[in-house]
Amino acid sequence: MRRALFLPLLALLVLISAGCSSTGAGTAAKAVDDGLSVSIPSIGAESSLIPLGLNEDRTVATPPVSNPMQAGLYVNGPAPGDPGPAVILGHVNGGGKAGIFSRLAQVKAGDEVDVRRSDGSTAVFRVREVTRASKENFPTSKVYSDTPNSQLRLITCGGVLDRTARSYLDNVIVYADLAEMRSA
Amino acid sequence: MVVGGLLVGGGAAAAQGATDPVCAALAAAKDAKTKADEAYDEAKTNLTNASSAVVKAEADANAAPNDADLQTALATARALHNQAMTKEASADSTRRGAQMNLNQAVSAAAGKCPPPTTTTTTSKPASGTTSQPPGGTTSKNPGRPDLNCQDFVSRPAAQAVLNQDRSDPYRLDADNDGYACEEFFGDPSKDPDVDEDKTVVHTHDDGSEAACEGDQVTVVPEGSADTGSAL
Repeated sequence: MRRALFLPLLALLVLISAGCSSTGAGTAAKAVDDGLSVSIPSIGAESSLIPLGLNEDRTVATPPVSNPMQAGLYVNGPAPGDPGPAVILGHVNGGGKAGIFSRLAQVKAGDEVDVRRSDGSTAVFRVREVTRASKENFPTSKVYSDTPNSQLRLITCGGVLDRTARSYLDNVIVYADLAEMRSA
Repeated sequence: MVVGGLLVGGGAAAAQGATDPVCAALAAAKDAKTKADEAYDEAKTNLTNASSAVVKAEADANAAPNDADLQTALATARALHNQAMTKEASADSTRRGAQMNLNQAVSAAAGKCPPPTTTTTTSKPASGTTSQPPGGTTSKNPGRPDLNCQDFVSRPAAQAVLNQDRSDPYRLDADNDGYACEEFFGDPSKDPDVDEDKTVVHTHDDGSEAACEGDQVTVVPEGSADTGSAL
């Protein structure tokens, strides 16, 4: 007996994209339950979370650029609120429109990030650090290494726009720690 | 082959009732597995508690680094945690051995033994364990229990049953990819054999130590994230 498999529709999305968001949801390695969402009250960002796996080149997949207000959760990491670094990705913009994380660089230490979990509870995170990292030197270890507590990473693009490559040169990365669990 | 006694859940009773030595061996293997599972559960609980104690003691000690009592408490918590890890590992080893023995006994029984389904509703192990061990009978027995993924203690345990009969009579591999129950237990790369359920103390990049459940991110992506379009 098996649980229902994740909706296969994502794999069918045709992505029209360029530069910083050349890829879509990629291969979701395992299912992410419905009902997940992220909210950052300080910048008015709120979105459900779709599962994000890997692209064929083993870079992390991103939500479809055709819907830049959609955020996603990297499925090969922990669920938000579980021990470890949960990773949520969203576009800064796409298709000429603002993305869900268009104002992520304005997030400040101490800001609250709420993630609704599949069981209906809410993991409340506090931002510890907001960094801008060159894509050439992406801090893979800092982002994805094991952590002693439940942590959250929010990732989007930022920095200088490379118009030739139609891509941003940096990633904006927010690091947050679990502050509280609110029951459903 | 007709076996006179009822193959009830209690190992001793089952062993007495089963006149066929193969069935007696199967019953004994089930009994051993049940006891090993109980011992492991207890050890795992102790380890979890010890891990939590270490995390708390670290937080306390970090908050007051000059408090000698807290430092002592932290050292004690770490020692107890190490002790619990050793016991858990030992119990885990015993459990895996019991599982292997059970798998072999299931193969050896090969349908000779009566299915336990007729007795499980009226007689359960004294331990109160309600889960049905895998492979009560073989796939050829029409009276076999319907094994589901939740009946197994781990994905490898389900995989072992699938490997015994690739026709997959229990539909443990509904998507026919060769892996049993990965939707229930998760990615096969996180199987217990690669420390899924072993709590270990990691030293993190910042030098801190803490109890972590194996590798929290199972597949680390390469490079940066393409999260913005310039169009």
